[in-house]
Amino acid sequence: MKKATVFALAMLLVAVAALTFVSGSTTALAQAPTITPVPPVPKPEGAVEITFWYGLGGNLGNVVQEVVNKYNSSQSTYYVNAVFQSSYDDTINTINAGLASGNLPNLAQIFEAGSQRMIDTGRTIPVQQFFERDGMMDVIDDMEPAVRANYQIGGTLWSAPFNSSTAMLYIDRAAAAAAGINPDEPMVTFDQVADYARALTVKDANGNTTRYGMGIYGEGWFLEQIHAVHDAFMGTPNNGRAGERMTEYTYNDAVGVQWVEFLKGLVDEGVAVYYGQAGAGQTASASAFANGEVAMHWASIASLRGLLSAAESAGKGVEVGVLYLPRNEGVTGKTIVGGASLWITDVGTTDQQEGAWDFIKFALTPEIQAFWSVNTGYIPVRMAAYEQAEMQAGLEQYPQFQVALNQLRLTGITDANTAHVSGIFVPYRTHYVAAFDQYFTGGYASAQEALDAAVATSNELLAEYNLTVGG
Amino acid sequence: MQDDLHISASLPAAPSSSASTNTVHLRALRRWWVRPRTRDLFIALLYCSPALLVFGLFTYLPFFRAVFLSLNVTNQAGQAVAFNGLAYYLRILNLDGSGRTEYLNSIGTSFGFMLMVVPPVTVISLGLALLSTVKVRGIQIFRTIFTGSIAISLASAGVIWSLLYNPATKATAWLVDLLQIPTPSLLGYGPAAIPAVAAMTVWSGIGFNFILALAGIQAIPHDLYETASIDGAGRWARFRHITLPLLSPTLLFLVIIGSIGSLQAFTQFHLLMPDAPNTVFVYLTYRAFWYDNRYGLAAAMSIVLFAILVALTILQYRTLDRRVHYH
Repeated sequence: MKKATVFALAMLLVAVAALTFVSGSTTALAQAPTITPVPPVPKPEGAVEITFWYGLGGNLGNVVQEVVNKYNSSQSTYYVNAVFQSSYDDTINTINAGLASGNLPNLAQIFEAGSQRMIDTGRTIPVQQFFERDGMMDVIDDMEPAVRANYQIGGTLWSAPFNSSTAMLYIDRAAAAAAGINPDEPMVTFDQVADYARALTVKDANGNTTRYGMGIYGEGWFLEQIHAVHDAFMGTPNNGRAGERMTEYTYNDAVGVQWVEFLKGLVDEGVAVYYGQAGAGQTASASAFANGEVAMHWASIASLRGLLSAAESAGKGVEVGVLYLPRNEGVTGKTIVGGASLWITDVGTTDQQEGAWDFIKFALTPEIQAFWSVNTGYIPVRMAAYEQAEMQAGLEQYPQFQVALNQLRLTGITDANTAHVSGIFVPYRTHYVAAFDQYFTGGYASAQEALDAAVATSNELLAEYNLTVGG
Repeated sequence: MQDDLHISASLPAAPSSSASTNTVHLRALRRWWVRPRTRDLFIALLYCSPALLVFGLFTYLPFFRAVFLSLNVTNQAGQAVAFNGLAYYLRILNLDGSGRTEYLNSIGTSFGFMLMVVPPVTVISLGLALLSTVKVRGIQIFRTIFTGSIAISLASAGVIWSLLYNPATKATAWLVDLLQIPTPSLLGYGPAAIPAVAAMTVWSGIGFNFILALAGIQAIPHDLYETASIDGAGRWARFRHITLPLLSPTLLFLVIIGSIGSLQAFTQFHLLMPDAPNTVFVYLTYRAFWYDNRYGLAAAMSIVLFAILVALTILQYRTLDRRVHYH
């Protein structure tokens, strides 16, 4: 071998070693346990195949496959073929792409942000028709009211609620107790939470902050939640729920501005830290919370198990507790539900449509609802699920879950405290979060200015969307 | 010769019997066909047809489709449902009186990015290529190292650099502290993010630019240098009066390709700063399509980019070509 070749090989080894080092530190970053996918059960001879697209990955996706397996094993007339579509966004985008060619699933799990677009495809069959035909209105009556309301648009239940959750303000109970805060009183005002953040912020001898009171990231869902709590509309007329399309977003109102200013004020005061936009920002804030670097964190109740196990493996003594979303003095409003529902499409044979409906009936039984809730952390669709021993044991194990249920049942249902319906739900969130981010990084002078810009873009998109559907 | 076509063209209008018309018509066609130029053209087209078919289907058809979509509002299935005229173009260029400049600003960001990428990558590659012509033992190893980044795809490079910029790896924490950036990552802060992505793009582009620059230098006849040396030309004078002029065609090519490439850059933005509010025009086009589902607007944006690239390339040829010495 030539001297140069030997040298080149040596250099290559050095490069490989350097890359291994880098990838080693990434593994430490992610720390996500590898999840083995649950295999589907084999298809029985002669069964009618139902294609089912879903968007939940990881452990949640496995539970979806388990529910599907339970269904496929319970009977042999139909066979549900569950196809993972990467994410909620990809599921509806793939449906859009298939609209022209008719390449659609028989059943699809779609997040509530996609409800209006699903209706507008003109390719769906409202599940209410099946409930009425089979005399199963008692099942609809038995649904958690906030969950049912979310998917009842213009008085019709379009899709079957499947996975639902609501937003919470997580708090480190250990830190709270040390700071003289009572974490067992979940009803809190903006002023109280600001005081909590101040009390929970810890500085070392050099004046460096070792723990911030709160972790913050940009997320449209919380803006919607705060509007619901204050019984204020996100858009007119009536959040798009009263049978008429929403024509205008109005979230640059007093409630929206107060919310964004509240969070920015905490960051400016040095008692909260901004982690960026939803996605990366959320992950960073969650990790900081589990590691005791921030004492409060905004997240869905469905994140409870993830935060509990992250806090445990971090070993920093963080005790995971939950509070209601903060509000103005005297406001007792409820939060809204976020999640996804099951849509039946009109593609394929009548047999396949019946099969899709049969699977929904199975998924909505109290037994499956209890199994689903206990294994995922989502809120059961059916009230009857709480009578199941499995569910009761789950509630006992996770008392935080009951706080979330109580928050969701604080007041009766109105159009303002139910998720708004709009064809540009997803883009509105993107533009809101972008404006939020720009405000937090110095791009806008005030919350009002940031929200005005986001609303202007939202309304430009909404008007265009409504034009395309002839509304 | 010209008359043949006139005869055949005017024949159908002549009120003569159909049989004789056909005979005359056929004779004209035959005469037209046996002309060598026509036949050559036909055969040439036949040979070109596979390429023409592919270009037609995958380049020209989509291009004209994009022009059509850019003039319409589309529904969620991507079908044009309402004629929109030039409204999207006016919106992009802020000529619609709305005073909203996000698209116009992003064109500026794209040009800023181009200026942060093309001059450094050209100068660094040229410098490395000059260094690589030095005759020392083991120079091949250095050439291999300088070429290295060509072997790493932009996607892989993006992942590697996203780790370098990730606050958790602390690899660039010193830079964040030095520049006193308010966010934990360079990529989280608008004014720092574009230069950070440009740095990655420069690194990634060095391999390709280096190879072409080196090949260009090695193609310069050696006797020119010898003659110049005899005439007493120093190192700098030889570079200034021999290398640079004779390398100028290569450099022009690199600058034009680099400019087009950096204005079209997508991968690195997708990997490093997908959520950044201030980003390059191509990435806003992607967002208009995928996030906002405004297919017509996205089509209009891609036509605007096309026009910019055509104009820029013509401008670069006009201004730089005068300084280029072909030999």
